[in-house]
This record gives sequence, structure tokens and C-alpha cells, in this order.
Amino acid sequence: MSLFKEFTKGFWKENPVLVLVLGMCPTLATSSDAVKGLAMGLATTFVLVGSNLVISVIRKLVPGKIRIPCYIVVIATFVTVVKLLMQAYAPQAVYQALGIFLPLIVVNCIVLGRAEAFASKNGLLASAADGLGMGLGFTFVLVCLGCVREFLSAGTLFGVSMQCWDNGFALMGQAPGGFILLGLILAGMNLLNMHKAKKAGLKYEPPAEFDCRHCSICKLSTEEPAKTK
Amino acid sequence: MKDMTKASNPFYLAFFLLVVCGVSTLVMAYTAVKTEEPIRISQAKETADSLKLILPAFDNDPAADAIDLVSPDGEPVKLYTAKNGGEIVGYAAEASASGFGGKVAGIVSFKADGTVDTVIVKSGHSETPGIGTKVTDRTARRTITDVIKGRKPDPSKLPANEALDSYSGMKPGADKWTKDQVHFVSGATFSSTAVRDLVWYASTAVRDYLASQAESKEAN
Repeated sequence: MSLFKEFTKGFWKENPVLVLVLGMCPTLATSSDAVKGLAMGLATTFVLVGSNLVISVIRKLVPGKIRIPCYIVVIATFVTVVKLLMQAYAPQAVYQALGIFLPLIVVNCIVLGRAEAFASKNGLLASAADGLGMGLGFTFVLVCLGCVREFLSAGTLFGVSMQCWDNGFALMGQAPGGFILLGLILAGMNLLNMHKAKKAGLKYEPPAEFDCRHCSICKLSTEEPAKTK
Repeated sequence: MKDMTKASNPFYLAFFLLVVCGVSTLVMAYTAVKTEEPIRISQAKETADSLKLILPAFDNDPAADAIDLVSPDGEPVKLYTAKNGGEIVGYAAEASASGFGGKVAGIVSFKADGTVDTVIVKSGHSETPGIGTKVTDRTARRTITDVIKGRKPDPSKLPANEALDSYSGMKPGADKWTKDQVHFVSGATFSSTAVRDLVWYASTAVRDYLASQAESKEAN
């Protein structure tokens, strides 16, 4: 796959929120307004690009048995760096509003997922393009969700009053509202993909690796234990 | 004898992990050292900016002369004293209370007799946008028309907030103020209570502090 394709897949085809449905916790918590969503998205992008780069470089050196702890240490380092940089240089309001969700990027499935699924198997440039694309795709979704939620709940966009909506749809400012909105967006996206597939004479089905079909845990639990003598 | 390759040798694995952790620690330590001063400046800036807005003109550094007090309810309160030419021109106190989305911190300025003058809630709280923020935020709301016409809000003017402004002129009595005395926003009870509580903690601490200062003056 070309570098450009590695970069652009994060925006739509393999968008971490809309397709892979990863990182739901920070998505719902930090998309209550556009500025918060943008800050969270950019912080995650920094961590994704940095960790993907380092993991890609050390991928051949790291023994397989301890690769996950090593990746977590690398990711935690980048998260600490971005946290300190934001505390020092970002507006205090933005830094404090992100609160606990900033250090929690360490356990964000998107970051570890890309490290394990992509950076540990690919070269430096491809890993950087993948991290940047995934990060910007995540940021794009957070900002879009943030704009809709902020507009519906407070009638503003990036803190600027739009002077056309002042009804205060409070639910949208809270996590359940975000969840409902995200569900509607996912439904819309599936409809669009189905429509596109129908036009091309195909039947739309999400790729198996994007949902639980690729996981064997359920199968293992239903299998009978091997008989021993 | 069991074949033990390098990749499955526990000592090698432990050593490798140790090296990764060591390098990681060095990177984090370097960043922490480099950002120590900018973080201190950034944290002090918001308080300094808020004090400039709510206190009369002063020439000292109130944050440097801040005193730690405890309110009668046992809550920590930070007292800032503004001086001009060595004379005390005003007091402000910082306190916090629990809101809907966590801690809500604010700074309250006082008149010479201990009545509340102005209340500012510090940014960084997690109150619900559009509901809780009606109680806490004094943001100068720019409209889309202002943006198109290039009009910018005057940073020296404190934007109005009905809930926060309702505390002006209040003095702490025996019990906390009720919603008949100060403005509680409908639907934002937690945020309104948090603001009421933090102003209460600040004003009772300042009342006791001023009383003790007056007593010691009389004794001298």
C-alpha cells in the first residue's frame, strides 16, 4: 500500500472511531465541545505518531514475549511528554478540561492497537503515515462530534455564538447525548456504504477483522477441553 | 538440558525491559526539567489575570504574599492581599467546592468591610456546557456577527453573569445563603451549590481573618 493510502485510510476506510469503534471513552468524554475535541485529538495524534515511529524502529530488537510491556512504556513516555508540554504551553482552561483523559491516552486502544497491528510490522515512514492518518481521523471525528454537541447544547461553535439556536439541548452536552449522536453517525455511515455497495452490485459487509469475528475467545470457551490420559 | 535462546532467557528479557524503562525515564525527566518553569508561569498567569480583573489597582504581587487559611467548615482557602504604595487596597480569596463534574474553583474579591464584591470561577472545571456553565462562566460571548465584523471583546471588562453577580454585597451570616438570597440557575443545582459553597468558604474565612486582624490591632 502506498504511503498516501496508509495516511488517508484513517479518515474514512479504517477510521478509528467510526469503523474500528475504538477509543469510545475519550470520544464521548472529550467531544462535548469543539475546542476540547480538537485538543484531545491533537494530543492523541502526537502520541500515535511518536509511538508508531519508535516502535517501528525498535520492532526487530524487542523480544516477542515482552513486546506489549515495551510498547506500553514507549506510549506512556510520549503521553507524559505531551501532558507536560500541554501543561506548560496550552491554555490552562484546555489542559484542565481534558483532565484525567489526557494521561489515559496511555490505555487508549487506538494507540496500542496501531502499535501492535501496524508499527510492529511495518517500516518507519509507513508507520508515521499510519499514525498521522489515524490521529487526524480521530481528531476529525472528535471535532465534528464536538461541533454538533456544542451547537445543540449551547448554540456555539468553538465558543462563538451562532445567534440562531439558544434552546440548550442539555442531553447533547453529556456523554449519553454523545453516544446517541455517535450511533446515528455510525448508522448513517453504514447506510452510505450499503448504498455504494448496492450501486456496484455488491452486498456490503464490514471486514471480518473490524469486528469480533476475528477473535477466537468465544470459540475457545465453547470447545470441549482436550481429553488426557 | 532445556534449550534457552536469548529471546526466552528471563534475565535477558528483564534486562531489555530495564533498558527500555531507563531510556523512557531519561526522556521524561528531561521534558519535566525543561517544562518546570513554563508550567509554573502558566499556572500563575490565570490567578494573576483574575486578580487584576477583580481587585483595585495594586503594585505588589498578591500571589507571592498569599496566606493559607482554613474556613470554619474546614475547607482550605488562599487569601490574596492587594497593596498599593504599601497600603492594603483589597482582599481576594480562592476556594473550591464540588460541582456536577468535579471540583469548581473560584476567586472572590471583598470590600473593606468583608462584603463580597466580585466572584470569578476559574476555568478548567467540568460543568455541563450550556447548563452548569450558565452559573460558572463569565466568558465574553463573541457572536458570529462580531467575528465577521472583526469586533474583539475588551479584556479589561468583566462579562456579566447573573448567578455570580448575585453574590455582590453579600455578607456571611450564621447559615449558608439559600436560593432566595442568591441566584440559583434552574437545572444546574449542583453547579449553583458549588459556587454558593466556594463563595461561602471564602467569605467566612476572610470574615474570621479580618476579625482576628482587628483584634490583634486593638491589643497592640
